[in-house]
Amino acid sequence: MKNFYDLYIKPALKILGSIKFAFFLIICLVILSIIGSIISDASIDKIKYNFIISLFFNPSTNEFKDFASTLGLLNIYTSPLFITLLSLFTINLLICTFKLFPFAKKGFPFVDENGLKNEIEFKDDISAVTDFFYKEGWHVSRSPENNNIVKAEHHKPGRYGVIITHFGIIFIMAGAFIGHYMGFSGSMLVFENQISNEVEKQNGEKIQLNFAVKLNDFNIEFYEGTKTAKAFTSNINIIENNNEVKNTDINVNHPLKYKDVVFYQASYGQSPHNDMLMNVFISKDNKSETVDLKYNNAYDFDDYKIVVRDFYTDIAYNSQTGEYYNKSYNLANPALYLAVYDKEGKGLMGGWLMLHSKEPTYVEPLNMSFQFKELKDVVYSGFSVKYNPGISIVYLGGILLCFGVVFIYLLNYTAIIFTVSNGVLRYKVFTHRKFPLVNPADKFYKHFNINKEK
Amino acid sequence: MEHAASTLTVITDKMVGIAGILYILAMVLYTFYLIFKNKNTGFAATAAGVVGTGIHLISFFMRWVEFYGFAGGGILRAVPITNLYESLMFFALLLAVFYVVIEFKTKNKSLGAFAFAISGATVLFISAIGASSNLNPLVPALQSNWLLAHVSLSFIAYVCFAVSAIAALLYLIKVSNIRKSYYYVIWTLVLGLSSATIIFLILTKVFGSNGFIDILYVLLMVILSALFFIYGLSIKNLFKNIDFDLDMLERIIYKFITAGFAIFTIGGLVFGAVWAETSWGRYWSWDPKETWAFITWVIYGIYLHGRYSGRWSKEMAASIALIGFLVTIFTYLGVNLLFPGLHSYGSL
Repeated sequence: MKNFYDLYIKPALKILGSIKFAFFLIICLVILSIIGSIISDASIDKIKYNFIISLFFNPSTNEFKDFASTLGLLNIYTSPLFITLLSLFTINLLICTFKLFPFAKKGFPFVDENGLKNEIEFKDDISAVTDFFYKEGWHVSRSPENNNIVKAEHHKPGRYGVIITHFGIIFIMAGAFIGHYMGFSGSMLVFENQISNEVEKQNGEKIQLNFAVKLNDFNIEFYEGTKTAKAFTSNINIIENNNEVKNTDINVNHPLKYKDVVFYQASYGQSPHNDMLMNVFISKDNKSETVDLKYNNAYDFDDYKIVVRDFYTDIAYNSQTGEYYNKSYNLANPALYLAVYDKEGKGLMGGWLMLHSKEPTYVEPLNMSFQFKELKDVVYSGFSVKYNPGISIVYLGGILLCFGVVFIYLLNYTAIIFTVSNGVLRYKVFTHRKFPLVNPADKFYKHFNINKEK
Repeated sequence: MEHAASTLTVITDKMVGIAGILYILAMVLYTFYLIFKNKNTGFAATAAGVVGTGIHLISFFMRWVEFYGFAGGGILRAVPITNLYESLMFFALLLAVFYVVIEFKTKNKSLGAFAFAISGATVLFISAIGASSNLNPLVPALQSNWLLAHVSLSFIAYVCFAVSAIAALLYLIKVSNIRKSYYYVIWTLVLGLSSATIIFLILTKVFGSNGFIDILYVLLMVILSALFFIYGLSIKNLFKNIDFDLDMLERIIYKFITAGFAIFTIGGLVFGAVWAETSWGRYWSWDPKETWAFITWVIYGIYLHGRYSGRWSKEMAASIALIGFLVTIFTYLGVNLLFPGLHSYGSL
């Protein structure tokens, strides 16, 4: 009676490790990747205007997007189907590679005398041929069954090239799976002088890190006379348990790694928010001060309370209504509305101050001057944040892959099995390649005057 | 600074133009040589090719030096292979250099016409689509020593694949005798599709992308493939008197694919992944360029496995080599021109 292994596992392994299955998986993966490279979340709004697609779907609606998302085409590379195919392919590769192992260890199997199809007349005895291969540095061994059959192998480690390459791919896949399921990646926005420990994943989910990042300063350097950024750098502090444990710069090609979490400089921008500081110059008579005001926080100056009541990012004046309004949310022409109160909280005056005015604005009824000098902490830096526990396995796989392909390229495994009897040299050549760069068997042919065309 | 740089840019651009004309001349001479086997013609062909390559090489180094002065940074970070114009020139240059080396090593001129046809056509293609030859400062993501390693190795691999594809095309033309043969269909189809694609890219560049050109592209693919299919036998007849060593062609296909595959794996995929990991934080993000590089890699991987297992006929292997190059061209040009993505430095 057959046991469980013979009944189920063996045939399953046979199917999973077959070349036909590998071919099927590869074709599926290639087709899915092609679709994925054309249709993605980012490109879908452009594609729907394509003439051919607009024949079937109305471009003014989201018909095509809905259609694509029901088929799971929007995020093909993270779809269960794609991941399943990749896993099956990895398993297939693993089985195929293990099948190669005994072969790699022992080299080419001996064939019996009848298998040695090529024949030439040969006066010497077998030791002459064996000596030739010794001299050439081949690995020579005799068949355990028949002492007259000799095998000479060239570049024996070349057999391992394929295995190393395959393991490289397997390691990369394994590392990728570990990273996908156990790690996370997302983004973090930090304003200057602010602290954050929140990472937002692409699906909107938020993760709290057990340490925080404080952005001290953000700098952009431009190429002279152009708007092309040359470099942008964030100077940050890592804060853990309320202690500053590390101060460092992050820029595009120099990420920060802390506790296996990596921060990459991804983006930057300007945006007003409640914690920004507005640097305002105030003077009355001989007394003057330059202070950092926060939105809606009162500041005492002499007998007055001074409060920023409103902020526009891009102020403009409507001459018809005679009112100021906010033209856009870009920081093109920022202005703040400053209100002045007396001690009892009675409103005295209020007015808009533009950021880029050259002179202080003199307010006659109060005999005071005000100037909005600087806007601080509106710059934010965007980091892409990643924790990938599988990365070292991926790197190991990459190194193996590099070595493997070089191994395959340089070391060309060749085996020649031969025997001499009754004045006839019979041999067979096995080579990894039909048309190698340099055929190692050529020397053998030349030495024994064999016309290989036959 | 821009102004001072642009005069030199014009000179190097002119030099490339001259090199392109010499490439075309070399192609014509090599073709005559193939047909008439005249020794002097052969010498003239080689001379035109070598001089063209030399001028191109000098202009490449001039641009490099100029870029170095313009962008600052390390000399290795100033290799002029950072946009479509520069990379296409680099491709044409490498192909010419590779061919010259092959010719001097094998003393065989039979591939010359094709190698210089592609090099010359690439230079013409650059001027046809009017790719900007201006020097552009490097965006921060490109300021890395990986630039040289990743981009130049990728291009060397592309050129290896191009050489193998030329040999594969010749091989298939030579072995397919009747229209019914699969291989005949494959090489005529590849010629049809690739010429349609080149016309499409030029039209898109001139008129901008629109629905009419998309339809025209589909029509062109059908018409040109049909034309090549119908007149393929007469193309084949052109090569009737030229005897190629089929065994040598086969070796060239195989040699260049193994070399190209190893270089592509290391320089294109692994180095690219390491660089992506260090600057974008993801070693593989299924960006269109990466996806198509993966597809290219898989196709050449299939070729190698077919070759090792010995189950395939040589014709089959040559067909895959040819199709592989079609995918390579798409990975290189099509992705940059059609899809937005992380590799968008290579746009026009």
